[in-house]
Parts: sequence; structure tokens; C-alpha cells
Amino acid sequence: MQSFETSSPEEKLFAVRIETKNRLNLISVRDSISEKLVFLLTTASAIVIVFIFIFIVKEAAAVLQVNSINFVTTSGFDQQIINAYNAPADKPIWQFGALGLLLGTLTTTLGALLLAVPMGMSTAIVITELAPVRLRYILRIVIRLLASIPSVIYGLIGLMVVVPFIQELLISSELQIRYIDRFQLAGNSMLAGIVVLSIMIVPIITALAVDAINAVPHHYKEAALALGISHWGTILRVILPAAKSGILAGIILSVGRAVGEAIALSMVSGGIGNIPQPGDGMVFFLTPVLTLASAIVNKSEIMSVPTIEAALFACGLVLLVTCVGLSLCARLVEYLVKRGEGRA
Amino acid sequence: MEKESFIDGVLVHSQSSTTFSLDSSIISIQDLNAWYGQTQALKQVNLKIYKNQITAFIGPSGCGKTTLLRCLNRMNDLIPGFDLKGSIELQGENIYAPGYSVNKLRKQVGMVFQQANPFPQTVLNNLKLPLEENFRKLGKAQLKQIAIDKLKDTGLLEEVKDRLQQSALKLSGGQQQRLCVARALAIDPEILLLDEPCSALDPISTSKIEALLIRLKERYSIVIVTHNLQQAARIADYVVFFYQGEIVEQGLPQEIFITPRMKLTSQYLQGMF
Amino acid sequence: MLRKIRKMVVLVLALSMLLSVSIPAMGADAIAVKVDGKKIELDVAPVIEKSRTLIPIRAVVEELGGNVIFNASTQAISINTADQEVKLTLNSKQALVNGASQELEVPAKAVDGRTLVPLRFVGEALGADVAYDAASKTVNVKYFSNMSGTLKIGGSTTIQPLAQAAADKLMAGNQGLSITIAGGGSGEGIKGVHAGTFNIGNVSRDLEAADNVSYPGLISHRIGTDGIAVIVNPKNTVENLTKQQVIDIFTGKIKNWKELGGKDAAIFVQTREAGSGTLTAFEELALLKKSKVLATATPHTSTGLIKEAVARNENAIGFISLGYMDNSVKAPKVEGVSALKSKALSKEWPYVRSLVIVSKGTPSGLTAKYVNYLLSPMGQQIVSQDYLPLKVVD
Ligand SMILES: Nc1ncnc2c1ncn2[C@@H]1O[C@H](COP(=O)(O)OP(=O)(O)OP(=O)(O)O)[C@@H](O)[C@H]1O
Ligand SMILES: [Mg+2]
Repeated sequence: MQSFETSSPEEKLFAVRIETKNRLNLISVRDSISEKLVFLLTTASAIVIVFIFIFIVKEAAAVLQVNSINFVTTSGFDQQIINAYNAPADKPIWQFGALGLLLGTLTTTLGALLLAVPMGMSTAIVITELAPVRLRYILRIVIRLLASIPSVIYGLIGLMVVVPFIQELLISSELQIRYIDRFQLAGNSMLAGIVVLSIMIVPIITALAVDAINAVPHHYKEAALALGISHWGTILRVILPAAKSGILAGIILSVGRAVGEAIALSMVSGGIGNIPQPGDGMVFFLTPVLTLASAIVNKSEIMSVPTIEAALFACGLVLLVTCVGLSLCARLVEYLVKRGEGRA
Repeated sequence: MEKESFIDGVLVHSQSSTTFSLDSSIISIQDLNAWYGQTQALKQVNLKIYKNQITAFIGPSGCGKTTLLRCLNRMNDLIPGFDLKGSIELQGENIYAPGYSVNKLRKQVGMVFQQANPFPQTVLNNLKLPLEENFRKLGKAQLKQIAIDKLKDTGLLEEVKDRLQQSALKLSGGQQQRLCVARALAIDPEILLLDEPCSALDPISTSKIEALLIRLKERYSIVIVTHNLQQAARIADYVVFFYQGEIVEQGLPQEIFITPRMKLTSQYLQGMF
Repeated sequence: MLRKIRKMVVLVLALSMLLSVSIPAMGADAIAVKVDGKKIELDVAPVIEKSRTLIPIRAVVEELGGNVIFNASTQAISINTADQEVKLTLNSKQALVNGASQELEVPAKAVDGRTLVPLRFVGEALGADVAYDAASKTVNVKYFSNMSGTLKIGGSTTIQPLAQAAADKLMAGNQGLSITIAGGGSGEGIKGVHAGTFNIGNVSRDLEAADNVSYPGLISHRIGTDGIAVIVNPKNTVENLTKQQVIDIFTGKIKNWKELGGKDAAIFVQTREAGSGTLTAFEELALLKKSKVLATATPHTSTGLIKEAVARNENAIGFISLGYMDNSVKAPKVEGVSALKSKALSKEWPYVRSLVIVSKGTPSGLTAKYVNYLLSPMGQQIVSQDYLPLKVVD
């Protein structure tokens, strides 16, 4: 600016114009570069996803062709894997049915959600609305920490604490003898899986719910309180509904983690793809189960057998489709809720 | 009828006029001092709010109008570090007395904020929600009827009757503000506090709200904060002028606007600060 | 008088002990022998004859993974490693290296009833570098510290970890050496060696006749033994099982511990996931290849986990390699034989399998050195960490 002092008004104006023009040019160049970069990266990741999908379908194709829909409607995966492993190379066995694994995945995930969503939500409410300010801060740090603990640790805790606890509390020796022909009631069970999974995803749900609730504009809360609505009424009817999208995002994320969890579940859920029978009463929850993700990890030692490789990729495909299905469900719920609010 | 208050040791009188009857006060504020942490926002405020009248708070920005308004329904309780001395009596009862129910108070003293803040839900839900939470015994049909009535009261029904199931956030700013008034009225308060309700509105919306307030004062006692002096002159029955946390002058609009007693008041009215 | 005599005896004894200690010490001071930098203890001092060093060769050869046989009646000395064979005769200048005759400048000879052999000749015949450092009076033999090139190994997952440990040790001591270890199972190991994808195949069983038919020309080198123990919870009162009972338990015919003299409780069979070398071995050795572990058995992905499961559940039974036994679990006797390492080596224990590494034909070069390494004391030390080495003490 100093240099303009000596020049005439016209010159000044001219200089300013040029400067502005240059700056505009620079900005537009920068914008177009970043725009292109973002576009490039987006396409790249989209392409990667498509390729992964194609790759999995291709690898699984052989098994899917042989079994078609039976792959998800029949069971006996564990035994089929053993048979396929022991089959001579010139007479490969292609029969696989992963219904047990699919059910194991769905029951553990849904069970964990049923436990974890209320727990996570109440923790989030305590952290954002009820606890004293200093405690909130500490709790948030603790929750973040918990969310970042690797799943093996949760698996170990499950193995050391949850599994023995279930066995002591719920399983009698008579019950074990009664069921020994069908499966082992040793505490390694769907229930143990559900408990461990929910412990694992509560911090995720909480952390995202806390962020979502904190993002709700303060004036909604003020409006509700000013209408004589109680603190709890405000939380339940105004704050939570306003934070719903973020909370839902947390739940979807945790569903993804639960469905895809392999290590922790293979440690505590029993390792065998039994189909839980609702007719067994409480034993339904004590049935040892195997999930898709755990099966892939547990059986990957023998991926060198082509039939087993294809079967595991088929499991991966079912896993992928389940994940997509669940998140579509969540979107649907979100849409319905929004329509209820008149936002859709 | 005679009112007194002390400002800087000067005795100020405000007299009743023939057109204006200050029959009875509903709120009485005595020796009110308020602080945000170390900074004092209100000093020795003494004031009465009259039944079925519109009381307007005027004064330069930061002089404590909002603070006083939010003291009347204890919204300042939410602000950490806020402290208050003195008393505010609503129908003879000190609202800051221990054990006084804040929720009950807020049901009696409704509030409309400076910025329209409808809930991010449907138009109808905005009205039903406070009703459901406050009057649990109401049936569905009754709920809807009250909601419709309040929309009618605020002159909004015609404009939004096809959009009851749409998000309230899709309404225009003026419509949103009137919806907030309707929502505040839904719980049937006795007093309505409005904090610059027209500051973001166009003249047409503004006049709609003004007309609404004049209609409403038959049933409610109204306190309005405004920077729009014409508006205060148009609708107020009683005007209070604040400066730096103190009441400089209060009285009938004609006194304040035409024959202000205090130099500060006339300076403010002439736009000198 | 009697006392005096006793004192004398004590003195003489003490003196003679002192002397007997100092003599070999003085001898060792003369010439030292180092293999790959490690000093070798020799029980007879080296002798220098016509500027050739003769030493008692056994310690050095064993350090190189080979062995020495002395035939007293024919006076023949036979030295073998995986790749080389050297034959000497006492006081004869004739030597045979892999069957080809060679002339010695100084023949092997006996000193104080010990056979001394020319070090440089034998060392070089076995493929080692032998150098004499006059300043420190040390003969330096380099064998496992002058390796370079690449070596591909694969096969049994049982052997894989110990192969990796050996490879890591060797690569740490040799700049230009690269060894890769793959898994895939014993079958893959045999196939891979035959096809040439591996230089060495890891196989956790002895080669069978069928292998020799499908993959002829393989030579196996036993590096150790793997015994499989049946394990139960330490609280389990069952102390003795028969082979048939083991079969019946693991195939689901016996379902309750009371049938075996234990308490009235269900038997929880623990097994390994398909593809586990231990499972394959167990099904071969204990279930006699005829049957499979019952389908409701809980499968585990590692030895650690199956042991953990048995340690945790009073009614569980499983199986692990003998090398992994510890007191978190208990191994009942089978047919009256305790699950001891020595019983496994002597093959008294019923569930025993060999750990072998195979090469295509007689190994040479790097491949031979790797084999020799696993047979040397260092290699055997690695084997003994998880399995039973070729020589064990209980
Ligand atoms: N939450 C708060 N924390 C600290 N100080 C505050 C807070 N709210 C208001 N104040 C201070 O208190 C004083 C009075 O503020 P108040 O909001 O009552 O002013 P106002 O008269 O409503 O002004 P405006 O016309 O700009 O809305 C100001 O100095 C302001 O900075
Ligand atoms: Mg204000």
C-alpha cells in the first residue's frame, strides 16, 4: 500500500484492479485444482470399492454357481469345510451352506445393538446433560480411549471374564449333559458374543452420540425449557430427535464394526456354526455360534484349497451384502423418521 | 396511581393517564442486581409489569434488557456464573425463593426469543410437543384443536394450513417467529416475554406481529424488548429505558417519547448513541 | 602317626588334583580353535606336525552339524555331514572324500588314546574356510558365517516357526543371505521341493512309500520329534486312558467323564481348525487315520488357545504338542505310559511323529548348510524350544 502514496489516483485504481484480477486468477486456479483433486480422489475411492466388489464376486463365483441361493439357506459350513479340506484334489467338494454363519452374524449383531444402543445413549446423555462439567470432560476422554482399544483386548476380556461368568451363572452340569450331543454349553456362546460386541460398540455409539448431542444448537434446548418442559422432557423430545442423524451414524458405524468383527467373536462365541433354535428357550442364547467374519479368519489357514478359498470369499460377499443391507435399513429408518418430521 | 423509582438519587415519577390504566401489577421487581461472573449486568432495578398491558424495554445494545427479560422466567439459571440479588415477585410470590418450581414458572411466563427457534420438527409438532409435555391428560383431538386455535390466534393458520406436516424450518422467518409466539401461547401462559421478535423481519411481518400483540394483550400481559422506537411507540402501554444496567426512566410512551425527563433518554431518542 | 599319613594322603590328593586341572589348561593355551567365532573346547591339546594342525575332530564336526564314527577294529574314521563324507584311516595318507581318493600330507594319528586328525584337510573337505591366525595362535573355521545367496523353504506349519527362528539367526550372521519361509502344510513342502519352488521342504512326518512314488528322489533329514499329548484340566481326576478310550472320546462315543472313572459331567472335546498340522497328526496317530474328531468339538486356531480352553474348563479334553506341555494342563497316561519327552523319543509314547526337512537329492551348497545348521547344536537348541531335539533328557 505504501507504494501507492506517490502515484496518481488513476494509477492507484489501475494497480488495485490488476492486483484484484491477479488474486482472482490465483483463487480460481486454486479452486479448480482442489476441485479436480477432490473429484479425482472421490473417483479413485469409488473405483477401488467397485474393484473390491468385483474381485470378491469373481473369487466367490465358483461356489455361488454351484450352490446358488442354497449358500445362504442351508447349513453345515464347518463340516463342509473339513470335507472340502480332506477331499482329494481331483474330486473337489463345492457344497457349502453358510446359513449358520449368517444367523450367527445377525443374532450377535442385533443382540449387541439391543444392549448397546440404550447403554450408549444413556451414557451420552449423562455425559452431555447430567454429569458435572469436570466429570463430563473426564468421561469423554475415557470413552474416546475405550473406542480405540483393539478388539483382541475385548476378546481376551470376554474369554477371561464374560465366558466363565456365563458358564457359572447360567449353565448347570445337567444342562451340559442334556445338550452334549448337539453342542457344548461351555459359556462360549452367542450371549458371550453379544456381551463382548456390545462392550465393544458402546463407546463408539456413545462417542458419536455425544458429538451429535453437543452439535444440537443451544437454542432448541432453551426453547423447550422456556416452554416449561422438564429437563428430561427436553432431552427426550427435543435434543435427541435433533441429534438423531448423528446418533444414527454412530449406530450404523457400530453395526459395521459388529458385523465385521472377527477376532473377539472367534474367541468367545464358540467357533462352530450352530443354528440357534428358538425352541430351546434360554439355551437359544447359550448356543455356540460362528459369524461370517470369524469363519473367514478361522478358516483362512487352509485358503490354499481352492474350494475353501471360494467358499470364504462367498462368505465375504454375504458379509458385504449384509453390511450394505443393514446400512440401507438404517437409511430407511432415517427416511421414515424424517418423513414423520416433514423434512423429507 | 403513582410509581417511583430511584436512579442516581433522582426521584422519577410516572403518572397514570386517562387512556392508560395501571390497575394491578402482575410482576414486581425489587432491588434487582445481576452479574455474569464479575461483570454486573443489572443494577438496582425496580419495576412493575402490569396486567394486560404491553411493557416495552428500550435502550442501547448491551444495557441489560435481555438479561432482565431472562430473569423473569429464570432462563439465566442455565448460564454458568450468573448470579442475582433482589427479588422478583410473580403474583406476590418470589420466583427465586428456594423450592419455587421453575417449570411451573415457565408455564406461566412464556418466552419468544430474539431469533426464531422452532424445533426441527413438523409445524404441528412444534405446538403439540409443549402441550403433550405439560398437559398429559389431553386427548389427541384436543391437542390438535388447541394447536389450530393458536395458529389462528397468531394469524398463521391461513398461511400454513397445508404445511402442518412439513418441517417448521421450511417456513419463512416471519412465519417461524409467529409460530414461536403460537407455541409460547399454546401452554396458556399469563405473561409473554418477547426479545426483539421483529429484529429480523420485514415491515409486513413486523406489522403482523404488532397487530397480533395488540390483540393478545387482552388475554396476556406482555413484555417486549425492542430497538425499534416507532414500534415501542405504536404498541407499548408502558416504556422502560435502560442504560448500562440501570433503569434511567420509565413511564407512559407519550411521556418517554415526547417529554423525556432525563437527558440520557432524549439523547438516546435522538440517536446520539 | 596315623594322622601324619592321613595328612600326607590329603596333600598328595590335593596336589594331584591341582596338577590335573592345570595340564589341559596349559595345552589349550597353545593353539585355539574357533568355529564361526565360537571357541571350541578340546579335550586333547592340538599337535602341530609339519606345520599342520592335528586336533580331536569330533567337537568341530558336531559344531558343523555333522558326526564322526571311529571304527576301532579297522582304525577307520568316518566323518559325515548332510552333503559331504570324509573317510580317513589312522596312520594312512590315503583319504576318501565323497568316494574320491586324496592324499594327505600328514596322516591321522593316535595320541594318548585319542584320534587326532588334520583340521585344515577335514574342514575344507566339509566345505568350511580354514585359516590360521599366527598372532593369536588360533585356527578360525568359518562355515555358517560365510553364507550368501537365497534359500526358499516351505511346508509344514508345525516346523515353520522354528525354521523362521533358524533363518533369522543365520541371516543375522550373514549379510548377503536371504531365506524365505512359507507355510502351506507338509504336503506343500514335499510338492514344493519336488517342483523346485522350495530348496527345503518342511514335513512334520516321516516320508512314506507313497511320497517316494509320487515325488521320487527326495532325501529327508530328521531334525527332531514331535510327540502329541492328550491334555485335560489339572482338576480332572482321570489319570489313565487307553488308546481305544482316546479314540472313543474324540469321536464322541464316550460322552461323560464318569464312563472313565471321573465325575458325572459332559466331556467337552477341544480340537484344532482344519489344516492344523497337530490335528492332522493327531487324527493320524491317535485316531489311526480312520476317523475324524467329532463335529461338535470346539475348534481352536492355535495351540495357545486350545491349551487355554482346557486350562479354563474342568471338563475339557484336547491335544497339543508335547513340547508345549506346562502345568496349566495335565496329560493323563496313555496305555500306562507317561507323556514324557524321553518316552516320545524312545517311541514308547504312542503319539509320536518325526519332524524332517527334505531336499531334492543330496543337498549341496546353501541347502546343505541349512540342513547342517538345524543338526548342529545351535539348530537343535532352536528345535528344543518347541519340540524334542534329536537327543533329549527329561
Ligand atoms: N452469557 C453471558 N455471559 C457473560 N456476559 C453476558 C452474557 N450475556 C450478556 N452478558 C453481558 O451482560 C450485559 C447485558 O447484556 P444483555 O444481553 O442483557 O444486553 P441487551 O440489552 O439485551 O443488548 P442487545 O440489545 O444487544 O440485545 C452485556 O454487557 C453483555 O455483554
Ligand atoms: Mg438482547
